[in-house]
Amino acid sequence: MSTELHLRLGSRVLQVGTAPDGTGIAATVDGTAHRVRVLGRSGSAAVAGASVEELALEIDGRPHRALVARLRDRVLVALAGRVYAFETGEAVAASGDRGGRSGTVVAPMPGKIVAVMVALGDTVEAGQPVLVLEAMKMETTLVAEVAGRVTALSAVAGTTVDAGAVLVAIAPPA
Amino acid sequence: MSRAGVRLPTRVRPTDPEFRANAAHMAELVTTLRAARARAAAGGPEEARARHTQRGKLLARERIERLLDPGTPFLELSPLAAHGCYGDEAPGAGIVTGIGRVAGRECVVVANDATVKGGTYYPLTVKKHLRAQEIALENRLACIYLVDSGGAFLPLQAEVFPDRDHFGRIFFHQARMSAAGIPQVAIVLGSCTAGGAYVPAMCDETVIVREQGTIFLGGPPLVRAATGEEVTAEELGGGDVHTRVSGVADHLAEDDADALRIAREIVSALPPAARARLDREAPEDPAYDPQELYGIVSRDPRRATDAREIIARLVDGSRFHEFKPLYGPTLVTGFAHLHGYPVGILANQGVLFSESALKATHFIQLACARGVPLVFLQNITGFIVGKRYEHGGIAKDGAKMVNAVANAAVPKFTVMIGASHGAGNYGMCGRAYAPRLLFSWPNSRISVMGGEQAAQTLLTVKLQQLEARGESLPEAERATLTAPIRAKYETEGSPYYATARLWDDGILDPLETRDTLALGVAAALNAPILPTTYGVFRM
Amino acid sequence: MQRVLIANRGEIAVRVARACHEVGLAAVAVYSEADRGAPHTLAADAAVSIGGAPARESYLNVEALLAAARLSGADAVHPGYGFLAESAAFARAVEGAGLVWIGPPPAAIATMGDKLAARAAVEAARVPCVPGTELAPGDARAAARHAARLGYPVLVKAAAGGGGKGMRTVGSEAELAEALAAAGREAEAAFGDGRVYLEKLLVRPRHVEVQVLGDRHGTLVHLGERECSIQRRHQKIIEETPSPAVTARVRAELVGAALAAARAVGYVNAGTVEFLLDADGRFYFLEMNTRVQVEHPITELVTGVDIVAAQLRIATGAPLGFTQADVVPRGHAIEARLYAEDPAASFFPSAGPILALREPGGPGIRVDSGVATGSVVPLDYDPLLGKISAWGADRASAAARLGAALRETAVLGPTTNLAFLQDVIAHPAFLRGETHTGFLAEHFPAWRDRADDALAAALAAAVAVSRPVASAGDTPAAAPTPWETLGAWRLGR
Repeated sequence: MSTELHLRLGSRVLQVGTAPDGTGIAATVDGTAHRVRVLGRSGSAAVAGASVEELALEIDGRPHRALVARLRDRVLVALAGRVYAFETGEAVAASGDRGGRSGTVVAPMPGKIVAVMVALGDTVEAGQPVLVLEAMKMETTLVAEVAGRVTALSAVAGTTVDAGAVLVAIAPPA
Repeated sequence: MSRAGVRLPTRVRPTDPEFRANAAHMAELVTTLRAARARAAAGGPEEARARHTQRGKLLARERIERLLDPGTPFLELSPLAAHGCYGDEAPGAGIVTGIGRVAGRECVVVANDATVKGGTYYPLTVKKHLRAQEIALENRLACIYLVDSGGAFLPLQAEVFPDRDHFGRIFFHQARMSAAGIPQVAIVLGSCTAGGAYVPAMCDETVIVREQGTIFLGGPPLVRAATGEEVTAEELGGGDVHTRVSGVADHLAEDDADALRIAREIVSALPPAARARLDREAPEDPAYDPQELYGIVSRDPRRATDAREIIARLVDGSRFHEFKPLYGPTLVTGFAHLHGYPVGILANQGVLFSESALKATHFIQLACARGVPLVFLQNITGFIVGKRYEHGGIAKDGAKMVNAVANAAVPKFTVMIGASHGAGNYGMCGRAYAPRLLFSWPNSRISVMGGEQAAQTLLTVKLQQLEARGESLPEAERATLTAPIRAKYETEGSPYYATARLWDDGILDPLETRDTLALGVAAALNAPILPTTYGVFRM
Repeated sequence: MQRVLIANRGEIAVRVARACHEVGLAAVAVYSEADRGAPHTLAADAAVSIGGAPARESYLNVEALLAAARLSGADAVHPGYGFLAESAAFARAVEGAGLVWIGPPPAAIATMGDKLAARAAVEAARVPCVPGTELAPGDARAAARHAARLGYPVLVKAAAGGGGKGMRTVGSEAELAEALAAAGREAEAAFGDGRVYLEKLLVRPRHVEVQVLGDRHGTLVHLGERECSIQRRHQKIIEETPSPAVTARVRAELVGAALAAARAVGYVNAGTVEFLLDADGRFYFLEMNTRVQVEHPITELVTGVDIVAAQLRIATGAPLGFTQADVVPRGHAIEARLYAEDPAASFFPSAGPILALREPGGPGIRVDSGVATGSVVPLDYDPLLGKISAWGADRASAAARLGAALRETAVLGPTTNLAFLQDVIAHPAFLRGETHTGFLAEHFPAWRDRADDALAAALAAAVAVSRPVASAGDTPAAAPTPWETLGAWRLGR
């Protein structure tokens, strides 16, 4: 089972890949190959929501002794008198970027506009409900995908719209 | 990444009035559910229970507790079977079924409740017994029958005896499972009369309690009537007779506790069950508080519930590796983990369009190719209708989804979290599509269409008929026409109506969903995960 | 004296409990709500809850401490350092309650606790003081005249102060008025006494102090000097003995002055007389700390004297048991203070649970720790986790041993100054002995962890995060399933 991991340390991001290889692990850090052998794993414990263990590793022929604590979004590694607090990227990704966030709110299906909660020129937050569309006997709340100012508004409560109709346009702050 | 998916964001604000109103509503529904469960769990009437225990016998649930490994889960199935049926005289349909651990392996337990009409089989008792066996068969779980039953409930014999899925099917399942190497064990703790005698007789190994358990095809009254022979029940088919003379039973026990101990020994001597491989991660609690589910689920079925907010409170670390997030957005698909087990999740986020159906088909193929179990979170009013969509081939795209769901050989699990109407029920792995387990939330609704739509459809048809005859219907009479339809859908669409009839395997408090699904996935691994083949996809 | 209540927490409370047991006394720990189950409570024979997490409700709460002593049957009180250790009122209250106060006479505490009174007392004993003067608050013109006479730069200090509070450096007359006002406000807020005074600011001075021990029978000895110049925010982080800058001639004068200062206030028990030492070997009295010092272990390492045990013996009224001639320092010792703080962010304190902890060992290494794995570092108190001290035959070997010990140490959880300490003692200027109180500001104005081993650490993280790799016999099915982990799970429960 090969794994791919993005570890952020301050402003650096290290891309670490590992794959089993015979008795050891073939690893890459930012594209450079390294040879890792796990000499021992011990002292596994759960402490205050973190899982902690001690690792004895041989990296490119050199022995290392590391204490590692895994938390939800971070991995803390104590190695040779220093602590490396890596962010595992989940927290960063969790800010909600599913990719392709759009400044336009589009009708996902044909339906009737039940309510419009914003006005032209309003400032909206990402995630803020902007209007409610009723289709197939279901009310769906449409939200702003980005924060910004409402620059166009074609939705009028009580009217029916086609799938794909652009209802609200939001310009992100410059 | 080593851990699939990113943590889902949340927009939930527990201080919102809408959230609070939803939460209060769900809390009320759960309180009702708990009360109904408590009533059903009590079993038969007070006098029947007292009579039962005075004989030194344990109650059905006490027997199960003693059978199971101490401190391990018991996933009870259909606890509200027969709810509101038979004048509410058969709580739980007089039988307790579930999945539990005995001697370190997951088993299906079927226990008659003799305090409910002597443990006789009502139609829904048969259905519940057969459903438990079906679960055992699909998941290759050993069966342990705690028998204490007077056989068929004779007043309803026509609905219990003759048909394919009636009483005889119990023994058919036993024979087939035994042949398939799925162990069948019976403990005879009371009477096993007539057809009931075949339950222990069909088992691989059977335990009987001395001077308590009896097995015979015809009881003493029938014998006297037929042949004039006077004989006591114990002489006719008691524990001593069957373990020393007839060989119908194998182990003689002193009392309930002794019998349950022997049964545990039998199970512990079984060859170990081969388990399917499923790569696991270290289990992790959801990052968001599952209690927030109460406030997220819309109290108004007409208001959409955000599927991602639900998923975020069910899966490990609230991490979700979403598939095709921008395509077919009315269906959310993606991979996540439940107690460390990988699962592919399909959850409705509005009506199904061609794109969402195609996305579902693609995603099901993906999960099957990887051998990953599927979880369907069903909240669906149906497929989109309209000329544009019919011309676009919504029917054939929906058919692709149904084809994929029907043939998917990975373990499937379905939870009704909201609406379940029309072909959406099929595409989202409704009961007919053989999910290993299917549960409902207390807020869910199930019917061929919504009550309001049904009323409107009926009205339209009626008006057309009248119009053809040159007549019309006054406004006032329209309500009179549609009101009974609405009332009927209201009653029959209720999850209690559904669970009473075994349309599901139980109603869950949303907070029980995560553990229940994980127990189900873990139990499913007792059967191999087979490769999937599909039928012809209409292109 | 049978049972000693330790009115403190953290590493010093552990240290005192150990000393009690060494000399055959029982130890009673006290703890606030934030310290329930903390290592110092486990080191004692009994532990008494004394109140809420804020120090004023617990470790500064005289009533609660005395009640704890009564409740636990303690007949003596050791104050440790910090909190109430230098409160003459507390010392009097302890004695007033019929308990033995393990420390100097309250009058000595009171005199030395008032900077102006202390200055007057030691000047009378011909101990050199930093040129300075008293000031009436708000008298700006008089202040300007005095400052001009001392010569800029000057220091504004709080009369009742300590720990850097109410202290301001003034480079020119233009800054004076503002500095006086700010220091006065700070002093008022911190000590309830807004009086401030002016002092000549010495350029690149070293902080050198002399440990003294006196019994009730007139014996007063010194245990040599310590240099504690490496300070951040006026608080020490690295201390050593002997000072690399103190020659035999200076030492003779220095210890003589220290003993004179102690005698001037009739000092009994352990105390420390602090001086500033300039580049020309001139030294000036700074203050006297009337309690055991954080950095006492290095003196113990080179002299072999157990200072805390001596405090206990002295308090019982027993003679010290040795004389000045018996004190023969050997070798060199350096102490590093491990703090939960971020040296890359203005030494801002850090808090939270200790997830993992590895303490160093080996010849010449001493660890005084107040935390354990799982213990929570509260934000309510000084973030000192512990002290790591190294002894060597000479300064270079002590520094090398300390460096190796720190490298071996690991703390996961709160941010600590561990890496920073290593960088400081490895600095060429430190190794040359060129230390002064502005050392960190001069050499480490904007420290960042070099993260030398980021690559190895990243690989360790990847290994830890990945599933166990040696998976030959380690099938996924072997991991406990929910059927094993959920316990007696039932619907509705």
